Amino acid sequence: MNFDPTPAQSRFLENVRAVLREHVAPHAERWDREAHFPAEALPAFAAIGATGVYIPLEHGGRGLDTVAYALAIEEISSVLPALGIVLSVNNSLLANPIERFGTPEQKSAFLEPLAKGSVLGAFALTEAEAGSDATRITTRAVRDGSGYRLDGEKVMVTNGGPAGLFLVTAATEPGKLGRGLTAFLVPGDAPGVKRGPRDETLGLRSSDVRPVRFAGVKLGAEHRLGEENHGFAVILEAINAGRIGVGAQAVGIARGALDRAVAYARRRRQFDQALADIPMVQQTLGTMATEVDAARLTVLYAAARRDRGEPIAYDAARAKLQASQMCVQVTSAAIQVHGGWGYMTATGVERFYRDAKVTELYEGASELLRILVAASLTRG
Amino acid sequence: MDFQLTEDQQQLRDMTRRLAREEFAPLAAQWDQTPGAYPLDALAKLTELGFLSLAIPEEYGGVGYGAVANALVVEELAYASAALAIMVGVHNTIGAGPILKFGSEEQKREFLPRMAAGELGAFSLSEPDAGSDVAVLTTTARRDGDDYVLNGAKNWVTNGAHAQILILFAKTDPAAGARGITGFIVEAGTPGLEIGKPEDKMGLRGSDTVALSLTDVRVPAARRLAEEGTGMKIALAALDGGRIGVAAQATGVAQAALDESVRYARQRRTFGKLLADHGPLQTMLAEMERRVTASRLLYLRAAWLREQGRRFAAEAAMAKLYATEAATYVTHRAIQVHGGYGYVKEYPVERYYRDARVFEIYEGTSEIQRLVIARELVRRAAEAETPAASGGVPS
Repeated sequence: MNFDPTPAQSRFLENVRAVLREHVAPHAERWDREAHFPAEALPAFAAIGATGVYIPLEHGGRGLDTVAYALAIEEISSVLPALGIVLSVNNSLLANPIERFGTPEQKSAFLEPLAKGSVLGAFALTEAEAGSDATRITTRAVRDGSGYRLDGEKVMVTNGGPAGLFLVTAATEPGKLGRGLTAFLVPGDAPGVKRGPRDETLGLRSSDVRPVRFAGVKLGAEHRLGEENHGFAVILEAINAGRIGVGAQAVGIARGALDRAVAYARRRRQFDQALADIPMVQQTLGTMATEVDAARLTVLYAAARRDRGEPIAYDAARAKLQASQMCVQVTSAAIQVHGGWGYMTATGVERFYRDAKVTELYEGASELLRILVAASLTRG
Repeated sequence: MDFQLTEDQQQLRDMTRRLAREEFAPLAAQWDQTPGAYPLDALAKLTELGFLSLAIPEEYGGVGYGAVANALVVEELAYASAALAIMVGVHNTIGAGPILKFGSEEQKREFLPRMAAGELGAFSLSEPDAGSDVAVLTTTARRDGDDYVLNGAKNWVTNGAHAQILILFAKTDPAAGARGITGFIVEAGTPGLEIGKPEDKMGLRGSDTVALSLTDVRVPAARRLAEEGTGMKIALAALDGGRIGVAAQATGVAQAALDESVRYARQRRTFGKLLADHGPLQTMLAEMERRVTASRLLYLRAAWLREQGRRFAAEAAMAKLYATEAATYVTHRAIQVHGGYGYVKEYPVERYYRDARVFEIYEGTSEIQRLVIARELVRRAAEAETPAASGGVPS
């Protein structure tokens, strides 16, 4: 048992902090306000390996582990939560399943650029009529000579604008629902890839989310990831690690809000005393910190299990469920500590509240995760 | 970062689990429901196996396990009987603990081997009018030659009716507030020490809780713990450790309530399907499960920090706050899962519910825990501002 990060994890975290200080923190609030995608900060993260934290060195990654990845996503999200999801998607939803299911050729063609950060990835699963129920996917991949032709429209694609590579899930046998899905690696510049207009969002305004249409995109067999009709396994691999990332993101968002609440409570005086000395405020801060740590340990526990090669579907679901619910509560409480000032954009705490909500939605809504966690008990 | 137990810890946990579930769990309802039935046979068995000397080093007759192992044992015992777990937990943590940490060499040699051999320990701080606010204690200890003479009244002493060795706090300087408090080792049977009738409680009915009255109780000065005026520090240090125990206890009860609920949900059918297949029931089970898991991680972290000799007060407070509120939530939902059957004593969940309620109160209420945590947050934030800041807490 050891609750401290390893020296390698600590060193990596120091690198992450240094990049955040120099390239992100000074601009975070403006980028949020202007819904600016932080493209200029990405090379610095790529340079320290944050684009492929647990991808092996030989495939262009940083060669660390899932715990290091979770710690990094948390840290990044405590400063600019949108950047947390940009990188979590690249690591867990793209690089990870290619590392797991890709052929050696796919790894050098697709994984290396992702892990090194020269190409950004996007995960295109959700459709207008296929959200929690991914079996309803209507995007089709039809055999075409030795390859496939891809047709359909995906929505709410994170990194949809800047992505140089899409992992697209399509139906290859439409009648077979979940057993008829296949995953494809689609280069962003392939003819027929049509990016829609960027979505306006409540939070994570610096992340680029948009619909992407695939209109008769021709793909070779070398673009298929994993076996035909085995797309669900690819999705699960991606999403399980992704949920650890979203959990870490939620912890980071909440920590960012908590840190601001503590700082404000020390500074702000009312009734001739600092807020931090007023019992009602102390009660709020005590609850916030406890909830953050409970979620944090749950996330790191799932990450550590993944690093030991144990199955993590339930642990990752629990981690994201715990962390996302906590995140919404804690960011709300942080505004409460700030009073009216918390509602003003200038104090920089309301954006965490807006950013929090989506963690309960994407990569598995809480309702879906509860069914999974319950299944770990009743099917055990 | 590594959440794995050591082989020793795992073995101890597995052994405790077997013992608790096979031998003690079947008796727990009887201890709960029969007035005056206390788990004394179980305590004798636990003594024999070394469970009453877990934290005591070998040189004083104990088995010398660390804080993690101690907490794991409390969780496993609480899974079977929260009453049994608190008796053992109080004995090990806030009974033997203060002697171990603050006692003189003579005191350790005299009392620890006796406690390891089964003489039960207790901790007596609270008074009828002094609960969370320890500074207002009114029990006094007046120096008289080589003795102190103690007078006053104490409340809520767990194990009080069965304990031979009490860690008791009194004012040696009544005018000095918290700085006038001193700790004493007081033996049961000392003239003038009267043990009250066990309280009639909502839960933990298998453990005794008594009031004490002290009338000119003479305690040799050699049984004073550390210096005069250090009692507050000793009490708070003991309670920091005790909080890990209460968090572990709460986790054990919550885990038992969850497991009972899962068992019930897998056998009970409504509207043509198992409860376990109804969405709203699945929601309840998941919300219970995540709280139990987080509780365990929190108490393990606090125990690990303690074992490493690091600051752990805030982490212990977090563990206690979270785990005890989780136990309240989980045992409440457990009854809900059982429906009407959860309300009758045929099933154990109503006992869990009653037992859990005190966890948020004793060894520091939830409100006190939040206060401890908030102060620590502010302290760390201030420390982070000074360049000389070092150490801190792993998080």
